[in-house]
Amino acid sequence: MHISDGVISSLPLLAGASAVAAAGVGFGLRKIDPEQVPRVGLLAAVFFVASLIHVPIGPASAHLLVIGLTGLLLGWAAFPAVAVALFLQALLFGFGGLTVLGVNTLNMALPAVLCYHLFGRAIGRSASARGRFALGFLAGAAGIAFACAMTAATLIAAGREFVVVAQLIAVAHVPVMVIEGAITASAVGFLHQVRPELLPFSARHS
Amino acid sequence: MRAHYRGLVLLGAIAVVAFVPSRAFAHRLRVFAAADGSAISGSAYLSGGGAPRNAVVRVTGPNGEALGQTVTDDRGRFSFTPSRRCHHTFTIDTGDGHAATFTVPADALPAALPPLAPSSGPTTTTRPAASAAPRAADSPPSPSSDAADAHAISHELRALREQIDRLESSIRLHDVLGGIGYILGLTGLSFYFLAARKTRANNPPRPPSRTQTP
Repeated sequence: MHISDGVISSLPLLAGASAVAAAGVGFGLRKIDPEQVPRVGLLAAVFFVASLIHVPIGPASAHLLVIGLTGLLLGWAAFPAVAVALFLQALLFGFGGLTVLGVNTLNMALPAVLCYHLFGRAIGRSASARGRFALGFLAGAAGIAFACAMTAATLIAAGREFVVVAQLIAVAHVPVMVIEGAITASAVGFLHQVRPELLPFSARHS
Repeated sequence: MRAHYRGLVLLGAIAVVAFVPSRAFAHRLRVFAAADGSAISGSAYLSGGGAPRNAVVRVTGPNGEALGQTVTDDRGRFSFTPSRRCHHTFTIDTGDGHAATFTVPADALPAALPPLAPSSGPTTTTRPAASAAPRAADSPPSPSSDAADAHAISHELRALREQIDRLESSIRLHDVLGGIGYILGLTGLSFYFLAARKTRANNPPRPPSRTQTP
């Protein structure tokens, strides 16, 4: 899902996406208060490492991106967390690129924020473990689905063919959606038991 | 203490995940090419296993001019026959956002190829200086065994170069630890800045007090 350097040659697309991503990062930074800082760092580290975990799909493979979980736990602060993680991935792993950092940040952090707003309240107010599990699963899968949609839209806007892009990205990430849904669901359940204040909109939300 | 314990469990889980990825767990598209006799052969691979199949590889010259294209086979391998002695840049784009390039320098190609632009100077085909008079004890070197040796050596060198390329692109534990270290550092810095901001907010600068001087 990381777009590499050189794939997008349209300068307005790069500049526009980077500007929106920068605005998101600035907005996210302002929303962080000291109690949330360890959480942001932790999820940035998780996101950073998650791309190393492979999901083999036929001859190729996709990798995990804990977008749903990051969004649920951080909200708008997902923007700076994802931006830092993507920057370090580009430098240290060679995933993605530095010129397309803004594009990748927008494609992965905006879905996270969407998951927060779509599923956060329902998870926080949910009374049953099964409800939380189902909502967590949906949030994890939806995070990947939204990110796929945005990446596909970016590539199509950069001139790729729709059918090819849709097949490569959307179809290839269906197994990832399932796995991410399971991971997010179990993480939500675990957090509800040990640190419920981390979950959004909970009664003891900090 | 229980809250700290649970925090440590979470942190330990992150550490376990960080130690699990070895060289194999990576997902970066790479392409490598080297001259192999009169052709250029290369392979595209994902630095973690797997290779893009039937992917288009575009070949461009030193100034971006199109020199042709080729396609990878089932194992990601491809070959291209150069017709000019210039830098050949191989670019592969799998269409899902990943792309990679590799350039084969001109001097790796056979000297017999014509240069790219006719105006770049006369073609000089330099031949290695003839060896001295053959020593009586040795049989005269036969051209075919020399060529076979050279071919075998270049084949081995090519395999070695490809191994080095794959090694360079692998992700090592210290890359992972370095990234996590930077994140921890940024977390600490943001603690500092946020605390400084809160201190300034709590202790606004007081106006200078006016004291009665006797």
